[in-house]
Amino acid sequence: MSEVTIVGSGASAVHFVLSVLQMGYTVTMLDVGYAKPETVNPKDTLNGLKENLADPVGYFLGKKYQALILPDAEKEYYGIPPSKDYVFKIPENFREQSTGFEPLFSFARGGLAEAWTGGAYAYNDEELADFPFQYGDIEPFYNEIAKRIGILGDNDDLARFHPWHEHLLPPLELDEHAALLYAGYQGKRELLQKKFSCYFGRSRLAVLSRDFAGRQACDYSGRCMWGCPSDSLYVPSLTLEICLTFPTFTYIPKMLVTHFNYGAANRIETVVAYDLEKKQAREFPVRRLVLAAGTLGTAKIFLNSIHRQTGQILTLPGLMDNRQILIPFINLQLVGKPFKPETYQYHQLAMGIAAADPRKFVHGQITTLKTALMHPIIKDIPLDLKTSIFLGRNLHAALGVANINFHDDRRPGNYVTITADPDPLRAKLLIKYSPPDRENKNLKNLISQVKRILLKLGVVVPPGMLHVRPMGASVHYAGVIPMSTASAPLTASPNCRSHDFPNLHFVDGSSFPFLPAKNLTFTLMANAARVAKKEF
Amino acid sequence: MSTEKTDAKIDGECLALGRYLFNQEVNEYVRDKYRSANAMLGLGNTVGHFDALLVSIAVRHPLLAKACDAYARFFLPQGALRKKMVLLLAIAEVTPPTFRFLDATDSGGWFMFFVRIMWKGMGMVFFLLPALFVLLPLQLLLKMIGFTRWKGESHV
Ligand SMILES: Cc1cc2nc3c(=O)[nH]c(=O)nc-3n(C[C@H](O)[C@H](O)[C@H](O)COP(=O)(O)OP(=O)(O)OC[C@H]3O[C@@H](n4cnc5c(N)ncnc54)[C@H](O)[C@@H]3O)c2cc1C
Ligand code: SF4
Repeated sequence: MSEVTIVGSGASAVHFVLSVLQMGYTVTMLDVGYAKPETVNPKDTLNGLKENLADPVGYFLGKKYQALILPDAEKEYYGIPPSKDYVFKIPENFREQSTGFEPLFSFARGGLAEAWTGGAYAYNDEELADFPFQYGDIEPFYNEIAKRIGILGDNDDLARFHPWHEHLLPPLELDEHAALLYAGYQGKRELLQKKFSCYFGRSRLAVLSRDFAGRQACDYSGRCMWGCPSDSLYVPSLTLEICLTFPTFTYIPKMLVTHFNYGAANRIETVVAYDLEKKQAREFPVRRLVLAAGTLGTAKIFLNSIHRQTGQILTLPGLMDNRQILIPFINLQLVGKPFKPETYQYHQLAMGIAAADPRKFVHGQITTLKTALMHPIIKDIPLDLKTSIFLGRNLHAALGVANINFHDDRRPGNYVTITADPDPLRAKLLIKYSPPDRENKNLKNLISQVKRILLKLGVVVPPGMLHVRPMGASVHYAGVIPMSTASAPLTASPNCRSHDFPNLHFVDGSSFPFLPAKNLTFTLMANAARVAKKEF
Repeated sequence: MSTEKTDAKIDGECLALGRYLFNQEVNEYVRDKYRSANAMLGLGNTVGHFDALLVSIAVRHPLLAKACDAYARFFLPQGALRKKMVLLLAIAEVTPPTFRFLDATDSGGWFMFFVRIMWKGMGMVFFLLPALFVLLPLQLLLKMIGFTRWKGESHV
């Protein structure tokens, strides 16, 4: 029996595991673990793929055209590329029902961050105010993760919001549009800061600007969304590969964990998983159990376990996610100009809008459009399709989208629970979410502020294209079993040990007591490494 | 209708829409993909009577296609014609040589862009108005008399 058993192989899990393996522990990881398909033509750029693949439509739109976005689809500006389908594949036995929330789940080897866009920002002291530790306590772990995965950034105006930790790599070359926006900001910096409390800077990204730890520097192939062929864009499965080099590590995929069993003094004795290949339940003895199945996955296993043993159906309140608004824009200076496809595809600029209460800081990431499928955008232009194609071609280089993120806090009405079912496989995860009061008014004010900021940069927001994403879409889930200094049931200690089960830890977002506007995964990874160090 | 006849008709539709949208003949690969997507996504057999009529008018001539396209954008935005055109666009943008046409800009810079967009905007209105007079009453009439499905042809 391993000293530590962990569920999940996502960003949270792998950094916890690497830390405890380095400390000499034996570890077993149970995971569903759908694996990524082989990378096609690794040397090709994105346009090289279009030219060289025998079936480019199969690759880009999918054999079943699943990445095609027809006019009756929901208003998203991109579909999941078929090469990332494995990230969002759900085992047929997994059941869930949501109200006011559109969750994404991943059962992939590496979890959701196999499809992430790499934004990696540290929380500052104000954002950590509800956490039972301060920035100084987690800083060494931010440093450690930055050293492991490679994060790039610049010590710019955003450093006032995003702490400047160690091991940051220099940023990538800006594409022409992003460079123009950034120069526009530099020219109007004082005005923007004074009038709008708005600051621009380089995105902090888990991408390599130079060769690092056996991985290659980004060569601007423009394939980011379809999967980086040179591992320059970090994904958790890279760390899993490192874990697999330890003889003390056992990885058991195709296991859908349903619950754990506990005995005297609530000590967990076994964990039960449904073997997806053999189609039968398997029981694994455990000494110390760590749940890292993603906030929602962890909550389901936790609730199921208590229900199995006590018959109780509990509710875990405080589910959080960042509301996101997509604000597409056109840069008038680039109208009619060609675009360069060989560029880094995701956001390279970030913006921050300070608030009187620093916890309400608004975080934005600005993606200028380079290589991307255009039909989801063109179909929404309010003109006939032929004219829309003309516009799409001539505005491509001028297009961009600001993705604006808002903080969230724990509110009792937002919860997860399960349905009662004697068969733990059949129990359904139920999610309920309602936005805070006055959200609409706050969003409206903020949208008009962002539009005015963009206008100052020579950028206009076309009418009718703005998209308030549904809750759940940001995939920044947190908050249902919060860390707390008070030892209350259904909470965790400051080091994420369960207050209900002495040999259980949570190392994913489930234990976060507050969700700042900025992307959480860097903090998930740092916190997982922190828990490993403090508790093991 | 036999499968060969249906395929030939879909191929014709693909060629006509390709000529209209990209000013070029789409190649065999694009036609193959267009055909298989139509079948797989059921773009043919789920459409209403008017929807199917609009497609069959659009494929007759690029000028008719323009009128139907303009009309569909405002009065049948999620109809079969727009779905088929967006499908063809999606296929074309990842396939050589059409992706190069779709990635390229027109020469002339800023000024010419605005001249062209004004011209195209006026063109849209010019085609939309007659389309409106003919197609809108037809659409309403067919709806009123309860024709919801195109009976004879399963592929449009
Ligand atoms: C498109 C996209 C873009 C994103 N961009 C960013 C970004 O730029 N920056 C950022 O910070 N975040 C981003 N995110 C969010 C980020 O991916 C998540 O915050 C992160 O992946 C969460 O990691 P996790 O390990 O806690 O959980 P997950 O990634 O959800 O991993 C869960 C793991 O548990 C396993 N598992 C789940 N249930 C079970 C079970 N019952 N039995 C066995 N195994 C189980 C799964 O197989 C998986 O390995 C993005 C997400 C998406 C989808
Ligand atoms: S990060 Fe993106 S642009 Fe850079 S090498 Fe990877 S896929 Fe290419």
